[in-house]
Amino acid sequence: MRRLRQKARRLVTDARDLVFPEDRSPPEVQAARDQADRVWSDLFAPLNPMVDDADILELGGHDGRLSAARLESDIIGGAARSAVVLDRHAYWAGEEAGVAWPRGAMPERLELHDEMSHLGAFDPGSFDLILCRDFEATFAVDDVEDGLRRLYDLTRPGGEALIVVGCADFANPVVEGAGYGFMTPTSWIMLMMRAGFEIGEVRRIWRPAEDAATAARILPDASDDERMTAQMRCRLVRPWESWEMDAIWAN
Amino acid sequence: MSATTARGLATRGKTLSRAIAALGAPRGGRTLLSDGDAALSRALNADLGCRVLEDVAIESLDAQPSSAFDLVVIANGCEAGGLGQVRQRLITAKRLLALGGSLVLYLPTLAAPVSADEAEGPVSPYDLLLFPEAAAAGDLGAALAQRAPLAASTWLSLFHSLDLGVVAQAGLGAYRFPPETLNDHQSRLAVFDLLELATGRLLVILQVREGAS
Repeated sequence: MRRLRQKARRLVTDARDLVFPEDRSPPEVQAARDQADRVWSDLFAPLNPMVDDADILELGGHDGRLSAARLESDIIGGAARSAVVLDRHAYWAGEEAGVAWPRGAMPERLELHDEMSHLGAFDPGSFDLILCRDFEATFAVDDVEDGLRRLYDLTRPGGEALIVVGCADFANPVVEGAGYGFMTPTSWIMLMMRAGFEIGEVRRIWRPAEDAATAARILPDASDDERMTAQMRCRLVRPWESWEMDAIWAN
Repeated sequence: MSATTARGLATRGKTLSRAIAALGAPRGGRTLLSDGDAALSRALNADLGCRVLEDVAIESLDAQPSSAFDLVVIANGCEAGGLGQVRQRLITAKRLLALGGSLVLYLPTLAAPVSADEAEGPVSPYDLLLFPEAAAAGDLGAALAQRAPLAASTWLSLFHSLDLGVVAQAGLGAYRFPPETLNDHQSRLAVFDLLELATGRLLVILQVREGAS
């Protein structure tokens, strides 16, 4: 009778774990995971990217957890195939006050690199989805055009790049800051198009209303959209080029 | 240089010089002209009584002495290169200004129509705007591949970020982008802010803001 009760209890426990899996990772690791989930929900999920079976490149991906979560099989919309994360700071090793990955927790299909020069090592068209949550922190003002062009080259035809860019903060316009201290939405869009991308979607984050007077003084003839956009979250599409279409036909 | 081109430059030089004078540029000062030409240099002398001390190529601005000029006029090429180069060029131009000096820029925005002499081969006035990837790849010529495609608001924002205040300007919001082009290329142009297309070329007089270094 006792063994029967034990079996029944184990069965119930297993069933509960199956339906409501319990995360047994340390609290700080779980907190980092929750933070990554919030970043995804806030920045990228509203742009409806195609994640299923995608090879992902994430720039400035901190500890890599955001991309790691896209590799898990139980996510809505399907799991990615692989992910590569580049960041100047090795957050995954606990640098920059980041939470270090626990040994063995990192998915096998996740690669982490702490050298941005690694960006030059990939073959063209290596990724279906590129994520960059802070473009200005990833590329210096001297590298903007080359950086965008490199992202275009690395994206497969039909693939997407989700890029978050800032627009100039008029109260504190510094070259290390949002929009390098001077970029406005129309010029950002033009630069992305010059790199070859098509603009799939742009979601804007607005400045606080109290900044309106300053913005109007500096940009007197601009539209409210142009002067009050603080950040743009862009879904860029890498179109098929005509020679690529021809190659399909030839094969 | 053909007689037609020379006449065109002379006319452009005179017109630009008069526009600069009309905006209230300071008269009679030590002047540096960058990427101008003899016609503009003569016209500046006639219209503003400027002593044009130098007429240097845009690439040579960096070699000029600091705080040596009351008026720096960049007539062409300020927009050449990437964002970093354009920003650095303005920093250099600011360095050349004597105390209270003025910087005059004549700039094309991304909506400025392309003229035949700027492109290699046949080009329609708005190809730079309509086919930016082709322009960047050099399909419209080397000069247009090098042009930073900045909107008027971005230029103004850039001046602000460098502590350069706009003293006077002409062209801002004054351009009438052809409605038939807007209509014919709606899907292509819809991504741009339509008010930004209302500035073609911009003529600005800038001064270092008070209290700025």
